[in-house]
Amino acid sequence: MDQIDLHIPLGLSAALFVIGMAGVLTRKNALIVLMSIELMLNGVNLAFVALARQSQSVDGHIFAIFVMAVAAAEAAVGLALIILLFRNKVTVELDDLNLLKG
Amino acid sequence: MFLSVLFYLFALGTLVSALSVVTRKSPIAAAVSLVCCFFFLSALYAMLDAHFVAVTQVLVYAGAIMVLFIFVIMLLNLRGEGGLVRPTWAPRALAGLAAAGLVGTGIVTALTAVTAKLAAETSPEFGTIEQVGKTIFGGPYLLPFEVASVLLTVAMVGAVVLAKREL
Amino acid sequence: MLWLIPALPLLGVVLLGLGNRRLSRVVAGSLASGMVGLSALLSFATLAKVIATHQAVSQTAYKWMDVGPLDVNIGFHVDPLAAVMICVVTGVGFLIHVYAIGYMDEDKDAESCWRFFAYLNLFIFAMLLLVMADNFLLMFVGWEGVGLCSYLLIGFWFENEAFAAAGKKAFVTNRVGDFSFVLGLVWLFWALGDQATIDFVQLQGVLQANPALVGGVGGFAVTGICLLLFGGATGKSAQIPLFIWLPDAMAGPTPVSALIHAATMVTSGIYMICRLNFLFAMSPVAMGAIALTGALTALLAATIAITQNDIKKVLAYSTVSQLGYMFMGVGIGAYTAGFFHVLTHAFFKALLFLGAGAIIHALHHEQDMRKMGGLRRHMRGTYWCFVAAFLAIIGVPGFSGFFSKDEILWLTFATPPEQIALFGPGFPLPTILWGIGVVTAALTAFYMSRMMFMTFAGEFRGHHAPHEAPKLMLLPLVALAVLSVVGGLINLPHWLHMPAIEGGLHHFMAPVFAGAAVRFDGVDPSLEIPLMVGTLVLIGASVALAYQLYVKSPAKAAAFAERFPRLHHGSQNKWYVDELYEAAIIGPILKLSTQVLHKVVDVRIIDGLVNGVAQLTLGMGRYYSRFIHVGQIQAYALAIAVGTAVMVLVYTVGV
Repeated sequence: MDQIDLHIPLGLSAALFVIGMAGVLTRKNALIVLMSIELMLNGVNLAFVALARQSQSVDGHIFAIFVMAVAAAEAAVGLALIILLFRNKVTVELDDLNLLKG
Repeated sequence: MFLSVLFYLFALGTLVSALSVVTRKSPIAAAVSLVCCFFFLSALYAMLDAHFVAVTQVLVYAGAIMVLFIFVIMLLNLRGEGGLVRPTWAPRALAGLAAAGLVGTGIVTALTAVTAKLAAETSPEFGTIEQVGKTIFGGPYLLPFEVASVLLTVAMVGAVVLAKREL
Repeated sequence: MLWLIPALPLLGVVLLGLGNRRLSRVVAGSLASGMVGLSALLSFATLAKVIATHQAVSQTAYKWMDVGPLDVNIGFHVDPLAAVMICVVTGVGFLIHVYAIGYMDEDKDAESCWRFFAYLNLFIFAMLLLVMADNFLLMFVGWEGVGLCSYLLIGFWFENEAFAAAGKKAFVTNRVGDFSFVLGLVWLFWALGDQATIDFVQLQGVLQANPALVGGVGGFAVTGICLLLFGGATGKSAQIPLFIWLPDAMAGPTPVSALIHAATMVTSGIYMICRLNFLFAMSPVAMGAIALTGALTALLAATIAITQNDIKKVLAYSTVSQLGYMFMGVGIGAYTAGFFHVLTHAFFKALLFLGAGAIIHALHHEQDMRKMGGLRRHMRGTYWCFVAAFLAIIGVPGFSGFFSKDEILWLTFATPPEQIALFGPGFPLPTILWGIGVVTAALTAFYMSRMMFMTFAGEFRGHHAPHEAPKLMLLPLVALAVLSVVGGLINLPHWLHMPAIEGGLHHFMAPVFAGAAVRFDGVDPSLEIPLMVGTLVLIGASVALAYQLYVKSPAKAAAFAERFPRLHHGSQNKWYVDELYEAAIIGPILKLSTQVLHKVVDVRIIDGLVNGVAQLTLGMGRYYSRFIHVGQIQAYALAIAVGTAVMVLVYTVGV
């Protein structure tokens, strides 16, 4: 494994992050936006793990675990909100949610 | 050698499935792609000697969170809609892509400063559940660990309260 | 303790203000009179000190400001000129304060007496500042202050619209003069460059050292400055063209007329010129202009006074006329003579006004002389005091007015023409001025006699029987009468051949006027006595004529007036000067202000601009909020992303 540049995992992490950001900013469907957010979080996780290997310390792993815990909590609450939204407006398309307008 | 190729393959897989998540029309397809992505990521973690994280990734992310997503998609009975760009030259879409691109450029530029290679060997118990457990419970991460458990409880209660039909 | 002299009246103002309605007429009046009285004692003490030490007394009370070349103190410099003036101001002021306690006994004034006495004290304070100031700026503070008090006191019975308007007229006219004064002051300061100073003593030194700073003797700058300063004096001292406020100022209570418009405020113009004698002496053109203006004003006012029926109006025009004499005196360079006339005039004119006040008070505010007559039997004390003042003002030998007026006339005749070369060095301006002065003296005798005869001789033509004035009012009259009689002693002329006591004032004030190079040797000195006798003959003839017309055969006076209706009406209507000003100046300015400046510039342009800016902001806000407040989450997320992108780029690429 020592022939692999550190670029690869870090670059992949960056790519995941950017792809996730593109998804958040462009997709109409709220659920897909949430999924893109998960993608971003995973990109960060990958960076943590790769660098933890570089510095031979498990602190990076622990942080990755915390990220996962928070992601789980956030997904739960976010999905509950979406269900609530759907109940009120029968749509989960973000374009239609413009009560903040003005 | 073989391991390097495997690494590259898994990385490619992650990338392709991530792109797939963001571009699918139907939410189910996106969700399944995301599951796929998580599996590939787990493999990468395992190759990077992050054994505990790899397992947790499958258990928590792929096994719990994505299941939740798919439940909700099926519950709301959502159909697909327009894909990534709708209509193609919508200014906001372009702006979003541009922003993402800019961030990427920044990160990439930062990466050019990094010249190291992946560390060769790690100790046998690096990344094992014992070492992780010892570091959490024996080190300064004990309090955040307990707080995280409280956080999860709160999230659970919150989700239940939010989604109830009548309070 | 110089600062106490103006500070005591100021303290009086404060105390009266704090006590206000609770103070009765007697209490308020006594407080005010007490303060002025104490100031008077201090003034006399200061005068004694100046006489004894032959030196000015100075004190700097407080450093007001020190900004670049401008170094201003609240400081007092009492040289012989100022010492005499403060004694006059506080002394006559004290007498008038006491008189006013007796005068203001109407019911309608009971609640506002405190205000009256507070204003009177404030006036004394401002006048003392003017007189004692050691620099231009402090003098100007006093200058403005007396103008303000004049307004407050003239319009004291402000419920009457006409009286309030008279006060306003006085103030605005004064203001025009003040503007001219300030221009002159600023020009002087600017011309002096880095030697600039507004302290009088330093100023004299600077101008003596390098007169070229203001253009040298007869230069353009010094002439302009002097004329502008004189412009201020015409406003304050009621000369042509700004004399119009003084007759209207008779709307104020008579003590006010006596104090302000006879004895003190109106003489501040002459005082200022005496103060700055070294500056004025550098410009023959300005001096000629001053003298000519004084003479013409004296003549004009006298021609109006001969037909007036209101006793106070006669005295008002008489004041304007006598002020003209004083300006003629200082204009030709006879500063001591001019100032001497200020002194004697303060005595007899204040007496005349206070006496008129006693009459008005006795007749319940009747001021028309046609309804008076025979008062010498009903008001004996007032009558005899009046006689003393009358003899003084017309210039009967032995009384104070004779010495001062005669000295001015003789010195005018004897001025070398180049000293007041307004129309060129060869023009016989002195002789012309002298002639105007003599004619005016004759007219003065005529209208004063007319006034005396109409008021005191014959039978009483009014309704209520008059009574003598109360003691409180009579005593000041007596005091002033004594001064009118003996006041001439302080400056006896040399032809009396009593070298021990002659020219007292002249010698005393000589150091003040030492900086002005003036001479009076233009004619043969032996002409003095004959000219004086001639003048006296004219005066006697005028009195006799007035006696004929107003005592012996009053019908002749009316017939005489019928013969020249246009002249008579013109004179009675003060030659329509007010109407002329209204048409030529005031009317157009008012029209310009309302039609153009208000309706167009103020409302449309300025308001439009301000409102327009506000509307612009509103419009811009409305326009842009359509793009920012969209209500879509992803738009907001985009904003965050762009911000993040910028930050990342800055940190990584170093944009």
